Amino acid sequence: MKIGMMSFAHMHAYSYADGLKDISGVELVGIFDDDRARGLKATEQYHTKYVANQSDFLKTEMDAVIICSENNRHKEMVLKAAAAKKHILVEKPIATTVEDAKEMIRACEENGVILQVAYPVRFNNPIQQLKQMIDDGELGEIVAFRTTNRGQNPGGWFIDKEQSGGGAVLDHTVHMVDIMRWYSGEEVCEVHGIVDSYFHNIDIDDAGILTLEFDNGITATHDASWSKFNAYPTWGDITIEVIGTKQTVHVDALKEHYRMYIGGTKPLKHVPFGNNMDVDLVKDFVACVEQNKNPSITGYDGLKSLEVALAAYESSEKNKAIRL
Amino acid sequence: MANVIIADPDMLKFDNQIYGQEAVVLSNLHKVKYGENNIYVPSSLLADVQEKENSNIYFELENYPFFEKAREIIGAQNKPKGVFRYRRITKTDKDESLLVEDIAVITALFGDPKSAYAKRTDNHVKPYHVIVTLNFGNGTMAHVEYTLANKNQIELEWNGIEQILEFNSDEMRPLISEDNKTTSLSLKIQAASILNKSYPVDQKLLVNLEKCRKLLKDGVNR
Repeated sequence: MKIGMMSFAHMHAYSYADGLKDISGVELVGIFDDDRARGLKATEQYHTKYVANQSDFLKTEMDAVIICSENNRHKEMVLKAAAAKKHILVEKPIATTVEDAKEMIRACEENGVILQVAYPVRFNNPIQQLKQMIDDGELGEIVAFRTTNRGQNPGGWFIDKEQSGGGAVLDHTVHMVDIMRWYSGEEVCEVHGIVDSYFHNIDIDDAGILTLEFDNGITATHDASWSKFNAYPTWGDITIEVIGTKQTVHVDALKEHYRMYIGGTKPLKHVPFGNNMDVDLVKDFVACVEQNKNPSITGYDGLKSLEVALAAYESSEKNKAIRL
Repeated sequence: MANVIIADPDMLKFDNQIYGQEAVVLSNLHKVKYGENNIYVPSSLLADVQEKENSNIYFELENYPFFEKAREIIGAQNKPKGVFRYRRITKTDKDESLLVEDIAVITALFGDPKSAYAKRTDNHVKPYHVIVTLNFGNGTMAHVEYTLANKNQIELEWNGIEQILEFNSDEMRPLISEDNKTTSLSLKIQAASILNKSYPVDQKLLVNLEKCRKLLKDGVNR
């Protein structure tokens, strides 16, 4: 299978490209990137060819593309890739507006190509283990969720609202809303959010807390921020607690690690040894394309989680809960 | 007058003799002889106190050493900015009184919230879960969560600017037994602390607790 990569603006592009290298029968046939220097560097790193023009790139013989551009460019790239009949794995969030997300989904349907949204947390083994427990009825009915996704300020275009569409709340809400939807099979019907900025003196949000209600009455909290700083032993966290009528289970997705103490400015560091969820996400996408099956994470999944994140901003601005 | 502390003996550290101040610990408020003693009662039993004079109320959270330390660190900042997350799981409670007193303690640390929003699960379904979102303004926001379930546990997190505090009573256990049923030492209180951090049952206290109860019922939107 031949796969191309469109933009390395998002740092996940590197781990996805690493994942492609590990899959037999898959060839990374080329890289398109508006940032020529970044594209050429990636091309050298992954031993493939650089194409400076997007239209020319999409004429390349290949089955699928992985899009890791700035968030506001997802739409343009997805529409063009879909028109060129390429299957698509797009980095999250799917888009910066609900309307764009819907247009992207529609374009992929009309062109008969797969649109998968990159939510690698679904491939984290502890997260999958809890999914299995829920499906097996070990937790009983779900009463509530408690989730966190907090990391460091990525800087660059992430803190430019025009390009990112939002800060930490957009960046770090969609993953866990997707997991809650996946676990419960329910949709969020109400969003209350407080969104603020005070960790980094930047013109975009870097912290938010969300309170959610699902259609069937499940309640949830979510803490999204770029509150971690360099001295913290790891880049951040991904946690979920599911409160069920039979039992409550807490998952720390990054718990599989050594605590490593070393000299220097960062004396404690977490060294992970759990599965690489980015790589497993890419393997799943390749399998979907190969077998021509529906993607495990659809454009609709991307749309629904985006709606929640955007509603948190609206809630904070209007100081009231938003019904979806 | 003798000091009489009403408490679950399992939640007290082993120090009945406290710095020369002798206190008697009773588990049942009904055994107390009013008028002869200074009485120290958890706020959850406030409604059962028959005589307000010489009666004092204490808040569990305020007496835990881990919270005292958090208050010291967070309170050291002039205007603390950050995200405060607090979660209590409790085996027993009456009318959310533990949640009310936790809110009283937390608002004493951060001030009156500009807005508050509470969400509850169906109280006919167990476990019962309550989420309280608090916006204190000036860059401080909080989630307070309360679950009525089959264990006692407290988690506290403060994500401030270049300062992170993390506490989980299930993890901060100096003593680990095979069945894990021993009460975490982190959730035990010194009797001396109760004597020092209690409030007379007066109008000021009653008004404050009523304010917290109303916040949980109606929310706040200023």
